[in-house]
Amino acid sequence: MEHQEHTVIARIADDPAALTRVVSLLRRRGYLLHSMSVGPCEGDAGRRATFVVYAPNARQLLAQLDRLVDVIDARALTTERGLAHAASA
Amino acid sequence: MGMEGGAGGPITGARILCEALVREGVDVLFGIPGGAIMPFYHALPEYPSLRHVLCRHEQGAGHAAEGYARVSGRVGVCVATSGPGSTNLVTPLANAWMDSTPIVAITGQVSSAVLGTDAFQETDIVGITMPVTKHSFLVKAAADIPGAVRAAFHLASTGRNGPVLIDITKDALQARVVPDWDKPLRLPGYTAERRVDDAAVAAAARVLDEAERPLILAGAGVIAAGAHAELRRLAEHTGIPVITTLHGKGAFPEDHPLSLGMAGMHGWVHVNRAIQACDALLNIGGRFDDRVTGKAAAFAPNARIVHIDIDPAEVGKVVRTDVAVVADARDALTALLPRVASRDRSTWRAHIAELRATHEPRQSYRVRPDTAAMMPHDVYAAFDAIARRRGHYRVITDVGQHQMWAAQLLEWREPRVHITSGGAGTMGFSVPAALGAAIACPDETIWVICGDGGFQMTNQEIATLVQENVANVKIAIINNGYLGMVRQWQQLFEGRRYSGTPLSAPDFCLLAEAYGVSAQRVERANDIEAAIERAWDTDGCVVIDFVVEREANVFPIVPQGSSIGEMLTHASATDPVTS
Repeated sequence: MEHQEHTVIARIADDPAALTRVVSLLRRRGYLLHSMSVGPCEGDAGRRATFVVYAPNARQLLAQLDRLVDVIDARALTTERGLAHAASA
Repeated sequence: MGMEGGAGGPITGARILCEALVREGVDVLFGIPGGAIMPFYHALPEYPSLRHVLCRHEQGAGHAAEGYARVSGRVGVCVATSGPGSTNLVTPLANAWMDSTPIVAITGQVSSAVLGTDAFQETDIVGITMPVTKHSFLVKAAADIPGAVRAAFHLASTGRNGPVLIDITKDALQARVVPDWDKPLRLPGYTAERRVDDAAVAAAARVLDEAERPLILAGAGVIAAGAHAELRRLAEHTGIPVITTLHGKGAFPEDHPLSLGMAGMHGWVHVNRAIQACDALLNIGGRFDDRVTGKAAAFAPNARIVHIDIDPAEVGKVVRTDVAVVADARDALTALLPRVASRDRSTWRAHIAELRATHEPRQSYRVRPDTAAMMPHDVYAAFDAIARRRGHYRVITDVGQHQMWAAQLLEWREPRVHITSGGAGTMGFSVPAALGAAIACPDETIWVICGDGGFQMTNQEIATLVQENVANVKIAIINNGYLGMVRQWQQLFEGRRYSGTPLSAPDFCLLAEAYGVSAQRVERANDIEAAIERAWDTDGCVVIDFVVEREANVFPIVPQGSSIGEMLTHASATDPVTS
């Protein structure tokens, strides 16, 4: 299946292992991580990870992320650039 | 081992860990001590309700915990020390991960003061096991032990079950604190319960109602959810025939008129043909493993697919799905049952019966090849007859040809009787898993059916059986002197180049006797029945070395990567039977 670009915004647990779990998941499912930034969450516990990743579809990507106990919530924006990229592929 | 602190006073992390396990209802631990986990072993004798079974290898401890969990439905627990003790648990964790088995692994870790310094026997086991655990905890303070244990058991045994690791530093086990047992469980990123979506159930019912040629595919999720009674009601109400995965064996009684048998790489021809012909497929608790689907793009090409699964990530992962019900299988079937119509499906069933009648004579697996050598099939036929008469047994199989013959040639009627390593395909699973199963079910006879290859990987756990006075494990080795399934592939697909598959072995009878269990070698078909009967009646573990035809094959077989419609049914077939 063709991979397209997704921007994911995830809230992850305040645990040294949490970020590794996310990145390790992307690697073993064969999703290419394009860029990532992590910072504190406003008000709430946890940290905010925003990343751009190439994956076959957003639903499967989010479902896999959701299996991680350290991912509190996650949503994806499939960018126009991503769609354009997929269309030209 | 004086009573420290007294009620309400500070106690060591090790005692807190023991107390936490007691609170979770744990009655047995499979493990091996070592430096980092020693404080836990020091506290253990103070908790006589926690039976410790000393295994001979941590892999055995892990598989024993799996065997215990699989037959009982309860969480299995294994214990190891840091470094190699913990890395030896990686295979059972991976196995439990692939087969969604609820186990908790507890590992000792070096003291927090030296963590991250490459200390003696320091291994990043949390990092190593991330891809094969549902979750893991690194606990560096005694006060965090109650919460970690509570969370680990909750995670292992709810939702889609799976393995959880708790890695605890030595100083956390030694420190004394007053445990807080009342801290609420906080897992904001975890959803244990999924409510059945009414609209999805209605859509699923519509697909089934409209179908002329529907099939039910029952997977491990039916057994995990205890939904076999609901499945049976659904099948009988709708008249829809039932096929199973390997792990679905026992989800539906195979002596039922609606039972068709196993699907996939070693499924029956008529089952795979029915999949290719059906117009609706209801998959309950199966994950469309490639051993089931063959070439996924060509799987069930005419069917609308309804998938009931507790894990949303399984929906649409491999096979396109028309309707998904993300829920526990029993909850979903309970909701579905009153909404789906009873219909006459006799024409469809007659069509499948015709397929069965057409193809069965061509399937050499049913026909005993004309050979003087004892065939594996002879062993299974005798075992099936005796087991049916005696009852009260479980069968733990290993991985390979013997495993597929057991799935094909024995009749499975009850859940949690057929236990095997499916997703990971872990040779060496069976003997230690039988140890765990035997302790969980002391009043039943636990049969191991394994190959000579797998047996040589983990048979040292027979010493554990003896030390623990376990008397109800009987081991049948289907001994063909090869890594048989690989040899079969080499025969069928690689021009008989038997590279790395001929396998020597010690005298298994002498080996068994060295361990202190009785043994028998069987080389003639006429002696099979008496050997099985004798083993069943023996008060003690038994090893039977069945020396069988060396080049017997498992048929049918779908070549890897092919559509399940393309099956080889005998070795000389130059043209696969295509649908």
